[in-house]
Amino acid sequence: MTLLKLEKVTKRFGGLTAVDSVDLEVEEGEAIGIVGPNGSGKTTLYNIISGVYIPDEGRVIFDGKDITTLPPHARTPLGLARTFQIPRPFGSATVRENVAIGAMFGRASMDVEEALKEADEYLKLIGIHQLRDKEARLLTPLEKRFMELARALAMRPKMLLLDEVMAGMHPSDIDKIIEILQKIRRDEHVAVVSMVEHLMHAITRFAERVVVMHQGKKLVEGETAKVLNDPRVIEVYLGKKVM
Amino acid sequence: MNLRAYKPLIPMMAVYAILIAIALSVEGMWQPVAYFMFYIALGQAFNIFLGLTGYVDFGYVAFLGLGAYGMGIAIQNFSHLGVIAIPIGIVLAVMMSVLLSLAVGAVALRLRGAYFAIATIGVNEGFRYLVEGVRLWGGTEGMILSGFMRKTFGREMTNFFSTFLADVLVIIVAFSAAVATIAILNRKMGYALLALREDEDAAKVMGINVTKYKIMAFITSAGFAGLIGATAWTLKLTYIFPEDVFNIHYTVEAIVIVMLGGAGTLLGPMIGGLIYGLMKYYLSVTFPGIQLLILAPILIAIVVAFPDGLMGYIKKKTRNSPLSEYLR
Repeated sequence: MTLLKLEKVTKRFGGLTAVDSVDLEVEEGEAIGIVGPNGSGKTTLYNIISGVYIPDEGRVIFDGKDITTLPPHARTPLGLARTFQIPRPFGSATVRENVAIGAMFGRASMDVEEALKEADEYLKLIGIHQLRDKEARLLTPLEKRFMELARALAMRPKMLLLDEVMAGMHPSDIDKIIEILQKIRRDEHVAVVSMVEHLMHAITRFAERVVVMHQGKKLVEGETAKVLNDPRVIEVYLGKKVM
Repeated sequence: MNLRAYKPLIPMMAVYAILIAIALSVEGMWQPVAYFMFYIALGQAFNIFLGLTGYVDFGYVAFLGLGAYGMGIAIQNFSHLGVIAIPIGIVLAVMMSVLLSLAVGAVALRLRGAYFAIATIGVNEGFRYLVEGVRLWGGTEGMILSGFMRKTFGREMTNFFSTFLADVLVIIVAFSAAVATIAILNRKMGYALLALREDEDAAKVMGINVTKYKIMAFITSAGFAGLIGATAWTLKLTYIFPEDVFNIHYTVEAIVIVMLGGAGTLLGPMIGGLIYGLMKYYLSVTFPGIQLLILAPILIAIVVAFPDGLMGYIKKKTRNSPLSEYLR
């Protein structure tokens, strides 16, 4: 079943068209990679899906509902969750509280005590349980990234939007994260959209389908292996073959 | 309800008990303690908004002012009903300040940070000129209620109201505001406010309706401000002048108390209010005329030394000790 549908979505900033008439469909439980160079409109696309921006044209349909103009906080209960490229922890709160806030206000909508217990589970799952009582602002950038992932998972989304979440991670950590993502896809049919600028190898192992963005437009879309061998993609973006 | 989460009220009750014991047992200490309690109440009420949301409302004193007028109007119009005019005044005070907070909040709380502060800066002055300009509620001459109260309640009762009941009510208001604070901190609302204070945009994307929670905190804080105006000013002083009750001076004092004690903490406003009240009171006794000249550098030194406020510092120092359950 189609979970997310973008219909001819356009967003302009002054004279710049950041996202130009993009169509996109994501199925339940699907794993999609969105790749493209810096400035290709990936982050704007995420901001349109999560409600930070309202598109100038086009529609956003999520789970059968038109959410084009819905404010961000009203989209989350429907089952959307995202991480940020530069992690945005609630600095003075502990790691555990950060993750619990996800469980409280996400689709799960738990009460405080339940959410704090749930947070422990996700911290264990991601493997940062030992950091639980630390203030989030004291974490290393990499630890913050793990925490953001735990926070997004605790929201129990139907669709998880990841923004460069695996950048800078050790290969063994990447393996672990991919395994977790595959598990929530399998068990809970969560669609995972992963945005990547570098780290092509992680995307080839994870995504079933890849969308390549270029100058605000969808350049190519299709099976990962095919797309990454497409001569246009190699020309505008990759520079050389990656697989 | 989880009673363990309310443990930090225990040290607060201990301090209140000591203050009340001093006030009742030491000759001449009732009034100074009442003076400290006014500042504690002011800090505790303002902290619900400033401390929990991180937004600065420069027009805050307007809520105290409207509360003061609410009580004044009730005494003027309902004193034929006897003592029942006081509870009517309390209800009216809360209603008036809450209504104003809804009006101000619905507009100004859509603005961020400094823009909000600037938008609110004129609220108290606006009200002052409104009251004076259209000669509302007595205009510049204000409301002088003492003669009126004596006639209807009797001299004894009026004295009892202004020298005892008003002070007791202020203590109750301060404690109630603290209970409201910890109740908020322990609920989802507390976590929502923590998130929006740290990063409002991220909070929105996390599913937090930031405008809703800001307005809830604003209304709660304004309601307590109205109660303070009604009790600490109207009932105690028995007069109301617009240039006094809409004076920005009290907003600034409230900000100082909250920052001194530790914004967003439960016990901070009590510590801040006590220190501020003590210093202001005794400096004005020992160095009359130049008390503020001495007070200001001391306050600056404290804020520089403890940027998170005194309670913020204490909390950090006791983080992993068993004491931390009692300190919030």
